[in-house]
Amino acid sequence: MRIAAFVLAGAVMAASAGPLVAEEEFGGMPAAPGVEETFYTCSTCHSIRLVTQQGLSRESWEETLEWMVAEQEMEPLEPADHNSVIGYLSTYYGIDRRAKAIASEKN
Amino acid sequence: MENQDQHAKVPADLMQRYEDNPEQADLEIFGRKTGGNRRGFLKGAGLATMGALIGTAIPFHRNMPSGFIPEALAQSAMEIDGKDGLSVLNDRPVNAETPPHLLNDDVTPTSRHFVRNNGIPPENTSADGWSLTIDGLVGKPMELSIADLKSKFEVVTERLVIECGGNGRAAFDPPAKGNQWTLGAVACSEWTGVRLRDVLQAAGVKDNVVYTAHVGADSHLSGKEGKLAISRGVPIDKAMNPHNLIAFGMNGADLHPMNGAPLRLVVPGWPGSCSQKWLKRVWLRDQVHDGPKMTGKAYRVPGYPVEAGQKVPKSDFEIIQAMPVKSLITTPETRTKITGRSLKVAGHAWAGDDAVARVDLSIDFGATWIQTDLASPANPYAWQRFGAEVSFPMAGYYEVWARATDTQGRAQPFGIAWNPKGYLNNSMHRVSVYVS
Repeated sequence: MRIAAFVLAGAVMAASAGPLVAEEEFGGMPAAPGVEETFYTCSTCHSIRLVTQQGLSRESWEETLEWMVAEQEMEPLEPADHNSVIGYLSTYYGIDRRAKAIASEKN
Repeated sequence: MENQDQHAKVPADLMQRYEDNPEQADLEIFGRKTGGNRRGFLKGAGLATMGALIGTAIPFHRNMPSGFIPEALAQSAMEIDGKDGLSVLNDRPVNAETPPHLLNDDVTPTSRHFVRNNGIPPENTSADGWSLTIDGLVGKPMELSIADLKSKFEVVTERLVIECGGNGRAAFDPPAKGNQWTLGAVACSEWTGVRLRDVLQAAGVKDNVVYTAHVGADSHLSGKEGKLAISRGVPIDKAMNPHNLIAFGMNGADLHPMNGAPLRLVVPGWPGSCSQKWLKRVWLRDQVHDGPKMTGKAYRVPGYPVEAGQKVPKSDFEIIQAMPVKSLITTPETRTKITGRSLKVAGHAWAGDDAVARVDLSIDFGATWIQTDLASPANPYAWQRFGAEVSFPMAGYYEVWARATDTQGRAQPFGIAWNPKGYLNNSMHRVSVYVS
C-alpha cells in the first residue's frame, strides 16, 4: 500500500476536517454549475488536464463516460450527477470551444 | 484560511488503519464520514497531481480525506526529473512533448525524449531481477534476465525514431479526443538492445502465428490489481523486422524511468504504442491481439476518407500500421526575428517504414519550393537531417514550410486527413520568421 508516499510529497495536513484547497480549486475549469461534480468525477484516476485539453460534442462526451464505466473502472454516476457533468463538459469543453475562444479574444 | 498554518504529522499507523478499516480511519483521524456513493472523494487538484509526482496509484483514493492537498502541488506546471524543457500536457498519466527547437540534435538526448505514459509506471525499474517472458505460440517458451539477453543474443545499437500516433492531434478541427500533442511527440535516440527477431527465432515461431502481444509492468490508472494500462502488438511480419529492438540502453546509459526502464520494445516506423515500455512479456498469437488500446477505435482510423467531424461506425475503423512521412524544422525556433535577408533552416525528416527521398522548403505559402540538402539516415529508421539557406526578398512576415517526400513518392499534405481520434497528422510544419 502506498499511502506512505503522501509524506514524501510533503503533504500539509489539517488536523481538523477542513479542506485546504489548492489555488486553482478545480484545475482552472470555469466556475459554473456542474464544475464540482465534473472535477471530482473526472480526476479520481487521471489528471483533470486530460479533460481540459478536450473539445467534444455532447454525444462524444456521453460515449467517453460510457467507456470510462465499461472499461476504465469508473463507477457509474447517478442520473442527476451524470446530467450535470455531461452538461458542464458539453458547454465548456464542447466542439465549438476553439471558435468560442477565438471569438472571445476578438472582443 | 483557518487551517493554513497547521502542520500535523501523518500518524505512524495511518497505513495500517486505512488497510483495516478505511471508513473508521477516516472518522478517527480526520473526523470525517466517508463512503456511501460519493465518487471522487477529493477536494482540490492535489490528489491526482500527487499521484503523478509519486508515480503510483493511490488505492484508497476514494477514502482520501479532504485536507490532504499539498500546497506545493497547486502549481499547474510540472517538472519531470531528468527531462529538460518538455511541455507537460498531462500530469497523470504523465504526457509531455518536446518543443521543436529543442529537438535539433541528430540524436535526441534522453532529457529531451518525449514522455507518453498510458498508466502509472512501475515503482521498481531496476535491471536486477527483471525478467522477460517469451511465450504463447512458440516452440520453447523462455524467461530471460537482462543479463541473459546480453549474453545470448547479439547486442546492437541503432538510432530509431519513435513517434506517437497522435502527434499533431491538437491541429484537428473539430478537435479530436485525446492528448492534444502539437509537434513534439517524436524523438530519435540511440537505442541499445537485442533484436526482437533474434529472440523470437530462438523461441521458435509456430506456423500459425499472426500477431505479437506485448505486456508491460505499468499499471492501470484506476489502481485495479492486474489490469493493464496498455497492451498492443504488431503483425508477425512487422515483428520480424531486424530493426525492432528489445532495448536496455538509451543513449549509452540506462533507460529513463518514464521511457520504459529497464527494458522496452522499440518498434520504429509504427505508432509509438507498438513500442511497449517496462517490457515484461511478448507472447505470440494466432489472432490479432486484443489487449487494451488494440480494440475499439484506439490507434485506428476509418478505412475510407471522411469529412471533418463525421461520425464513423466503430466497425469501419482499421488498425494503424506504418506512420506517414513527416518532417520537423528544428532551427530556427518559430517566431524568430532576423534583420538579415538569409536564414539557415534545418531539421529532421522520417517516413514510417520507408526512407525520405527529399525535403523542400517554401517561404511563400507553397507557391514555390527550395530543395534542401538531405542526409542519409545513420541506419534504417533513423531520421534524416535536412538543411538549406533561404533568402527573403524583403522585410516582412514569412512562414517557412517544410515538405518531405518519401521514397515511394508520397509527400506531406497541406491539410489534415481528419479522423475521429486525431491520428496521423503529417501535415507540414511551419515556423514564422519576422524579417526587418
